[in-house]
Amino acid sequence: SDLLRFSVCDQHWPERLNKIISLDVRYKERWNTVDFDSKYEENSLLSQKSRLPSKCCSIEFDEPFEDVVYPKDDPDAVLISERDVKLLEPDTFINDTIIDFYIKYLNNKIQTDRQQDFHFFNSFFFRKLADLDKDPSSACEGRAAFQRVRKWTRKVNLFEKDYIFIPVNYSLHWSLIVICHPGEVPYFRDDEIEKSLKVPCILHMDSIKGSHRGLKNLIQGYLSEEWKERHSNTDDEVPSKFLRLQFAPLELPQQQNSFDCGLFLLHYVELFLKEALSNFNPLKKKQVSNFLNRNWFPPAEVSMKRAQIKKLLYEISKDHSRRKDPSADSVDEHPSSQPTNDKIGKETGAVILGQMWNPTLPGQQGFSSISDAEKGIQISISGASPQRDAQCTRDPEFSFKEQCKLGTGPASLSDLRYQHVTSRLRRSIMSPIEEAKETDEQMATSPYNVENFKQVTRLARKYCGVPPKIWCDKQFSPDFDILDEDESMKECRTSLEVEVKDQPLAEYEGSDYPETTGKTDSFSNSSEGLSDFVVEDSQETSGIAAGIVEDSEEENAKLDGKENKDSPCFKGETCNLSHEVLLSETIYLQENIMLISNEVTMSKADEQLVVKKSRPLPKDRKQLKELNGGLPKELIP
Amino acid sequence: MEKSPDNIPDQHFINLVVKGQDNDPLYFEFRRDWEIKKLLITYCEKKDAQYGTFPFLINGNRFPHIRTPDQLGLKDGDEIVATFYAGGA
Repeated sequence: SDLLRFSVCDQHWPERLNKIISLDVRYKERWNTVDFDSKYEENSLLSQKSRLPSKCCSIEFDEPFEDVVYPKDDPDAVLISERDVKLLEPDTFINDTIIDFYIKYLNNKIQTDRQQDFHFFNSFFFRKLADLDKDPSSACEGRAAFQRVRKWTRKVNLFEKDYIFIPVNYSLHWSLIVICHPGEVPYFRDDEIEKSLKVPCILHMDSIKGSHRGLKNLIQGYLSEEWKERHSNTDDEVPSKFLRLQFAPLELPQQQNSFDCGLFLLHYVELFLKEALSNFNPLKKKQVSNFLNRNWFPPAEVSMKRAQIKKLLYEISKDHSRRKDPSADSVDEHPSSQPTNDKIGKETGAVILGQMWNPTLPGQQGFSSISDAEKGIQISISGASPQRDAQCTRDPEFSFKEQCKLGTGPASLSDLRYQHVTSRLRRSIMSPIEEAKETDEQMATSPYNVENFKQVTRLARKYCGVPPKIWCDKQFSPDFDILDEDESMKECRTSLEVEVKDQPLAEYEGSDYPETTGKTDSFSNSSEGLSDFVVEDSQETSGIAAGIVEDSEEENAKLDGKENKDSPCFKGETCNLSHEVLLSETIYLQENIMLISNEVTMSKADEQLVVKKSRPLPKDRKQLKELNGGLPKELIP
Repeated sequence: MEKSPDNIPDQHFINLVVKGQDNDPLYFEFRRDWEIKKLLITYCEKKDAQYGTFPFLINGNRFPHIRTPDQLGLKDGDEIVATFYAGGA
C-alpha cells in the first residue's frame, strides 16, 4: 500500500485535523503526523546548502516584531521594523530596508579577509546619483551626477575593489549593477578580453531584462568622475577609458511574476558572491558553468527568500531582545557564523509544500536522475504550530503545551503527535537528490493539483466557513513544456497516486487531463465519499516512507506507471481522497504560480481564482508613485 | 530653528541641516549630547509627516537615531538627507 504525504502550513491545523478525524472513527488511527522539525531542517540544509533550494515555507509569526538594528554598532546600520517585515509576505514589493539589510547580511557572511574586495552601495546611492528625486531627465550629466554622491565614497576607494554592487531602483523596479575590477581599467587592453583574468566591466543584472535603460552612461560617467576626483594629476586618457568601459546586460533567470524583482536582486547578489572568484571573466564567450547565464538558477528559488529573510529577521530580533547585556557583541556573530544560516527554517513546523525545484537545469546535480522520480506526491503533515520559535524548541514542555492548546482534541492526541514527531524524524530525512525528484514529481502533476486546490477551496469554504488562503509555492514550473518533452519524464507524471489500505486502489490518471478535469468538477459534492477516505496509520506510514525514499529506480517507476494504466476504473477516487485530505487546511496558491501555470494548462476556474486573490498595493508603492511622479512637495505619506 | 538657552555654552550645540525632497531644508541648532532622534522627530513634525515614514541619511549612510551628534562624528554644518523608501518589482 502507498502513502499520501502532504505538508500543511496552518497554525490551526491541529484543530482542523481533529475536525477531519472526527468525521470517521477509522481516521484517527490512520492519520499520521510528521513534523518537519529542527533536525530535519538542519540535515537537509547541511547537505544541500549551496545549490538546492533549502525550503519553501511560509512562516506565520504572530509575535510582535521588535525593531532590529543591523548590524548592531555599525554606523550604517539598517533599522528594520515590523512594517518592513510585512513586505516579506507573498506578492508584496520589498523595500530598500529589506534590500539593504540582506545585502549587509551577505556582506557579513563574506570571509573577513575578503570583505575589503567588495563594496556594496546602499539602495539610496543610485537614486541620489541619478537624482531621481528631482529631475530624472537631467540625470546623466556625469559631473553633476557625481557631485551628488561625492561624499558617499569619502571613506572608500572604489578602485581597490574587485566588485562593486549598486542596487538600482526606479520605475518601481529593482535591478542590480555590478562593477567588476574598476581598478584594472587604466591598464586593460581590449585585446586581452579572452585571456585576462581580471576583466573590468559593468554587469547589469535585471530580472525583467530591458526594463532599466540608460544606466550605461550614468555608471561609466560616475566611474570616470570618481577616478578624476582621486587622481587629480591624471590626463584624459584614463577617464575616457572609463567612459568606454564595457557594459554587459546579462541574460539571467527572469522573474515570472510582478513582485519578486527585489528578491531577484538579492539572489543575484548572493549567488554572485558565492561563485565569483576574484578572477572570473564574465565576458568570456565560452562559460563552463551556468554562472551568470539564463540557467544560473531556477527562478522558483527566489520566492523562497521571503520566508528565509523573514526567519532571519525574527531570529535576530529575538536575539537582540534576549541579550540584556548591550556590550555583548550579539549581532555581529550572527552573520559571520554559518549556524545562523543553517538555523533558518529550523523549528518552523511550517509549510513545506514540497521542496521547490525547477527542472530547467537538466545537467545540474540533482537532476541527473529525474526520470527515477518516485511515484506519488509526497506530503507530510506538519502537526506543530508554525510559530514555534527558538525558545519554544529549547523548552519542550512549552511546545507540548502549545500543541495541546491548539489541538481541540484530547491531550493524549497531542501527546501522541508529539511523539510521532520525534520518532518519525529520522525517517523523513531525505537526501537532496531525492527531494529534488520528489518535487519534480509534484511539478509534473501540478496542473492537476491546481484542479485539486480549486476543489479544496470550495470544500473548505463549505465545511469550515473560513475562506482559505491559497498558496502553492512555485512547484508549478514555468518551463513545464521543457519537462514535458523529456521522454523519461512522461512516466513520472502519469499519476498522483494514492493507495489506501483496506480500500480499492485509488488512481488519478494524470496524463488524462481533460477527463480528470471533468471528473473533478463533480467533486464539490464529494462529502458523500468521506467515509471512504482512509489514511495510513503510523507504523505502516513509516515503513512506507522509508520505502518511498529508496524507491527511486526507474524500473519501479515504469512498473508503477503500467499499473496505473491498468486500473482505470479507480480514476477519480484519488481526487476525492486528496480533496478530503486537504479539506480544511490552508493552502496558499501564489498568484504567480497560477499565472505561470496559465501558460501550461489553466482552466477558467483557475483564472478566477487568480482574480479573486488581488492584494492591496503596498503602501510604499503608492507613496512612490506620488514621489516619483515628480511632486517634490509630497513628503507627507 | 531652536534657540539655545542662555545658560548653556555654545560649544554644546551643533548646527545641522536636514534636506528633504522638497527643496526646503530646515536648519537646526541642536545639543551635541542629545539623541539625534529628537531632531529627526522635530523635522518630521515640521513637515507634517510621521517619524519613520522616510529614512534619513548622513553622507549616504543610514545611522542609528539613538546616537548623539558627537557619537555620530557630525561636524558643524553637516547635512542630513531625508529620502523616502523605495519599492519595486
